[in-house]
Amino acid sequence: MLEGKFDESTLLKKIVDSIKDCVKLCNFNCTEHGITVQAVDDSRVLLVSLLVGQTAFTEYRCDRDITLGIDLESFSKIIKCGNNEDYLTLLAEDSPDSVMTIFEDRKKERISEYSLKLMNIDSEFLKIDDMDYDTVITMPSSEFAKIVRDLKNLSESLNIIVTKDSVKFSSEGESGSGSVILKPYNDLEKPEESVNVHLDNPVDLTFGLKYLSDIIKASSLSNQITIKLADKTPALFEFKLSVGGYLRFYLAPKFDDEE
Amino acid sequence: MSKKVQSIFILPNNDKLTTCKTCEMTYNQSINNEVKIHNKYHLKFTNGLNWPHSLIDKTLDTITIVDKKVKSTNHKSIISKEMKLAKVISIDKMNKNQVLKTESLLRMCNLELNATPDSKQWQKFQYQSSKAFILVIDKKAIGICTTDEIKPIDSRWMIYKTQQIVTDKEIKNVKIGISRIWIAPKWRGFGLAKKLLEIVLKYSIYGVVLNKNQIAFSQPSYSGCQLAKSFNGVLHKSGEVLIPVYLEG
Repeated sequence: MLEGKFDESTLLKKIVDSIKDCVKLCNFNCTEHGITVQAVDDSRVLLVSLLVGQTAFTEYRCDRDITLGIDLESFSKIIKCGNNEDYLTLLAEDSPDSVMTIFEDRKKERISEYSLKLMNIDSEFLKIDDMDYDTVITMPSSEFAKIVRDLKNLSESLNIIVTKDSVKFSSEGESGSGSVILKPYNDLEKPEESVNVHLDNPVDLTFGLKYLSDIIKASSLSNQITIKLADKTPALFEFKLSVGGYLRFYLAPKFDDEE
Repeated sequence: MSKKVQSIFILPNNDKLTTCKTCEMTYNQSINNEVKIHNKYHLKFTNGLNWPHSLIDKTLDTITIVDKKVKSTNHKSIISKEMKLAKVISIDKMNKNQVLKTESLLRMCNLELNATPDSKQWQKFQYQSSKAFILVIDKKAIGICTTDEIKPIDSRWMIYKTQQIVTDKEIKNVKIGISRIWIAPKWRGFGLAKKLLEIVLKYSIYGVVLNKNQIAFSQPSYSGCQLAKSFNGVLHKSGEVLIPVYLEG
């Protein structure tokens, strides 16, 4: 049996809203350590990997490993039924055909329950090995989101060039071109405002802005985003959950036509 | 800026290919586009290829079949009978649209019959009695039979049971070879293939109705053998059933 209680329903709401536009159906794999999700978008360009650690719950128990096949669109509608400050509990049997979402008001004696039918989703869980990246950038997620939003107006592709002393984001389209250059910056007062660039090798990579604009929907989950890049390798965009866990996006790069 | 191409993830679970048991198309279930293409093809395959009225200039003959449908409710089953009229047309070699459409129908049936491309005699003017007959029901081409002009020297007997060819004996009087014969899965079991063969006897040579023993088959499949056996198989004095076949090409 699974019973996971969140202190606030907003966390789950934000998580589901961050991924529901790129993946529609996904398996929530529940184990004693927490809940993991792994899913690929239909075009197979973006891979989503989520871990909501046990510590993210105020109460958590999962006696046996359970897979919940969830239609995120329907799930998102259910989660929106709760108020942000409500306690949210997920409840499922050992071999469930539905999952129960329970909202409890903090002050008033009000409990609302919603049951979502589960689906049988055929997908294998992949083990993604940690790898060495050429560059690791950590920056405010809101700043990255703005860059993506701004440059998306110009083109379909975003080029990221990282050199010793700067990160350059640029886009070139029919109507014109634009670029944003960031330099490492250390804010001691507000560390979350810092821009850190760790560079082993310079990189020059291009990504589809359509996918990046899906990724930045997760900005509400964390003040900071970590971007890990390596030549000819999917990039990793990571949002850490302060309560324990992460939401990672692996994005396949674009290559030159002749390659 | 040079044109960039989006790369994609190749994952073990979405790289599995499925082969549809009915239409035999192999496709990747995790790629939406391939699923769409399969669905489209599958529908064409099972129900027949669209064949608009504009492609029918002259109906050669008609075949009436009774389509029985059983609807089961909780308490009883209702059998509804519907008469269906199948139009038979003979492809006009001059009509490019008809020829093109027939080619795409043939591609589909070659895939199921596991056959190589045919002799294409039915497209060529010098083979007057080589024809392509199409069966059309409700604006869908649901059956095809293409024929070749053949001579006794091309023909042999085949032993039905063992599929062995009797090497030294030609079939006298043989005139027409059945190159391909195919009925869409939805319309099998109505005896349409046999009806098509009767059409071949009647309309292959102008003014002449051929005899059943003037027909031979090109590399019959399992069900093709069964059709041939019941249509013009011959019981040999050794007790074996012989089927007339010929070498196409």
